[in-house]
Amino acid sequence: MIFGACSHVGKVRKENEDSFYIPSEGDTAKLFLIADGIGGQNHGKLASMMVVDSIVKFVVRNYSAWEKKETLLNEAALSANDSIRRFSKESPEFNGMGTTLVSMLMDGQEAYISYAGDSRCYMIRNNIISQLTIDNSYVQYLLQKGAITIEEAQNHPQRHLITKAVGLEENFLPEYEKVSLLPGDILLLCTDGLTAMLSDEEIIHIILKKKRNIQGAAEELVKAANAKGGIDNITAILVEV
Amino acid sequence: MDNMIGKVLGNRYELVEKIGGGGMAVVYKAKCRLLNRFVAVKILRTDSDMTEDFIKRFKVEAQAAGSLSHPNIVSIYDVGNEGEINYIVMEYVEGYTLKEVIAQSGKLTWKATVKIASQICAGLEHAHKNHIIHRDIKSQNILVNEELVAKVTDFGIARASSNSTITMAGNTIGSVHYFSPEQAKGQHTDEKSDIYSLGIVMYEMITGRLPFDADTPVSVALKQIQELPIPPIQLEHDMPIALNDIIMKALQKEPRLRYQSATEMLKDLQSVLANPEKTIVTEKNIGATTVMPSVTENMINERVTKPAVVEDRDMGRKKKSSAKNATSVFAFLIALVIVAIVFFFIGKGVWNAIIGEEKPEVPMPTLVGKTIQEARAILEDKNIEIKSVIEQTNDDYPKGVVAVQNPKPNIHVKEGVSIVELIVSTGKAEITVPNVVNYTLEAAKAALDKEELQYIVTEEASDEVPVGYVVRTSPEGERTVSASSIISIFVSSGPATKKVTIPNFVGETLDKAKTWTEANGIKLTTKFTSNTSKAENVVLQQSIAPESSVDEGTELTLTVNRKQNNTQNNNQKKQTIYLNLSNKGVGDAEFLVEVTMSGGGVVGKKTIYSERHTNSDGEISLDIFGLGEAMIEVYIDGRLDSSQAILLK
Repeated sequence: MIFGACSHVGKVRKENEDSFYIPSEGDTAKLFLIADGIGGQNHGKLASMMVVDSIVKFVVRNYSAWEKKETLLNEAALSANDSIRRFSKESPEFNGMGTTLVSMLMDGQEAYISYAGDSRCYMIRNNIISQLTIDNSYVQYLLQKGAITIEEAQNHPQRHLITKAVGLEENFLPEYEKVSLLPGDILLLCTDGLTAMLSDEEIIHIILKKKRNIQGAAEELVKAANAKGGIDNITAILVEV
Repeated sequence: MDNMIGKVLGNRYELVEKIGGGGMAVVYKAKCRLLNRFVAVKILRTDSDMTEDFIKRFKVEAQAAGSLSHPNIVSIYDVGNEGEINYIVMEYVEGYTLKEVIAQSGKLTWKATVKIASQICAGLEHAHKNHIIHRDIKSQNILVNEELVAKVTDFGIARASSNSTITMAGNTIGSVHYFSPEQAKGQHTDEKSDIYSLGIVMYEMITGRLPFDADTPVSVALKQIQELPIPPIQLEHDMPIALNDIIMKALQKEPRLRYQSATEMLKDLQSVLANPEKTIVTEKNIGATTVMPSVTENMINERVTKPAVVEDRDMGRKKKSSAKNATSVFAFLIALVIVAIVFFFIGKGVWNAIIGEEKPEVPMPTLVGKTIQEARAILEDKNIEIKSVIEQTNDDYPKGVVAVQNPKPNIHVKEGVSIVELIVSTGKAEITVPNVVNYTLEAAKAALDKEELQYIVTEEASDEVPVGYVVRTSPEGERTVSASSIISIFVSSGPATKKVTIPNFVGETLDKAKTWTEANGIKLTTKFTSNTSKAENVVLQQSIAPESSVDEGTELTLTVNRKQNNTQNNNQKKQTIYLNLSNKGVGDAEFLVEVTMSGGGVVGKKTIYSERHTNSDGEISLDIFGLGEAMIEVYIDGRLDSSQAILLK
């Protein structure tokens, strides 16, 4: 397994409110995380940092003793939600802080994905890109209900409106996805700063072209999103099985 | 932003009290030192990611809205900034939001509904003529004073879309109940979106409920797009069918099926008030307006002055919407028939006079708004003769002023032909308000009905007047008012109920909540749910937000943590330990109690309890789950207080 990651503030915003985590030396758990913070006055940055920190700690603490690895990320996300709630309750000026989340734990041939909001996970297999996550967003909801067309969704002024995030509600439940991996599969975790700028076709094109250098491919994705305007913070993690 | 009271902005506006707050801004009542009057100051919430561009747009929009001047629009006086604070200074309106008025009365009478809707519509008409679209018409944005003067507020206050991720979880956007389908879909919005939202507000006034409601904002938005409203007349049988039709036309999903302008809608609203029995919008002409918005009066006028235009315009439209071709042609034929019929009827008399052969033609001057003396002088000057002058009461024009003229201005008439008819106002029709204080509500209504006065009913606490009896009216009894006035009847709801401010219970024990609710006359119900990361018997949610002020006797639902034993792993065992906290702190001061467990089948040390307590909490019990030998440590404010080994088996 090899991986690469890149995060960039983009060309419009002043602050990078995205946070991410990739395995570092000595980690037993193959854990990948991205969080895209929401809430003004730097609260978004704080929320995404806290959530990444809380999930990493939870996983590190419980990884070896946890029998059903499948449930570990969900539990970690719930506990991260609790810690943000506790924090923002104690300091009311942080009320409304929260973050999207896309997290992946690889365990043997399985990858477990927990997520909330509009940060996404894609899989590239046999030169085909498919999105494994379904955005928790207003526009996605209308699209699924047949109320708007794909074109309307892409141009909707409220396309950044999400319907679920870590830290905002007491009874939060993350979304969950599980996928069996094959050698050669590439997984992409990213924030909407990437997907708002690049189409799925553009993304797979860049990744396949730069496949030999997975870190280079992650950087190239960010560069391409910036070239298209970089309206939001951009974060991408690539993992090749 | 809450510690702003007393602050002076722009060396002029002294913030007196907070009167409202929304997602984007906080509103204060303020005193303008220069003009010695109260104003409302709206302060924009600033965020680091609010770009300068955003603030610039906010100012431009506020200034544009500031150019509006209309009795039914809250005036904007000033836009400024002081350091980081961007603010707008607005007219201060004493009164309630329409939302509050509806909540107080349950629902409004149809006349009050029409009266208020007409005023909102008039405000919109003025704004739309100045190319300003509101885009957030809702009952919270309509201010109503005791005389039932309605004013639309929040015109064009920066609703710019932002590129940053925002959330809809919880209830961060409130206006979705009033969103037009095109707003929900993210499509282009225009004047007709405001008309839709006004339709929702009217629905809310007359039925007391919103046409589309659901658990989450997204499902409400979906209903705006996909679901048809229950016609209001099915909920409110007594309303005129014409009013039902006006609302249903405003609520059409397709913008082109709605009223095409506020002016058009206002005309129908005024007509329903004058003539409630008359059908205005029929199913058929809802359909016909699809392709032919101005079949009736405008078209006849155009036909009179410039006959070619009508066909041209319509042919153009037909080309664009080929799918509607058949209807379009059909509607066009109907229109021609209508025009022909009108010609037939007016043909013999007026028509000949208008286009008679010999005499020179002059355009009819504008007489409405002029005094009858002025009007006579103008007509004499143009050598046009008056056929008749009728005097009538009129609310819009003062005594002695022309209210209606026929023919309309700019229609060419022949000199010397006596065709002009004028209606001159005798001023407002006046009625003396009956004194109904201490009447029962039914008797008061009957008394006002007898005078044909319109009214709305509002509840008001009173220590003297028994429940259900009238406390006062506004305007008060014996006052003379115009026939179109609406009287507010204030009916007693009994002695003022004691208000109680609900504290925060989340994180507190159920026992503590019980003690408080008993002492303060709040009805307590409990629900139980299981959350293994929280302590037993601790409140997880409360149905009423902390700091809310509620009536005594209000029901409060608390969701309390009750761990279910079967949620634990099957092989885990439970043991209860007791902690005496009565002497752990100093006086009433709070301290943090943390309990950790090592062993017990769990790797590492785990915090199993973390809550704040005071000495008065006394002894608390704690259920420990695990297997085998475990070391329990109790920390008070981070210092190890005691430890004990237990065996879970």
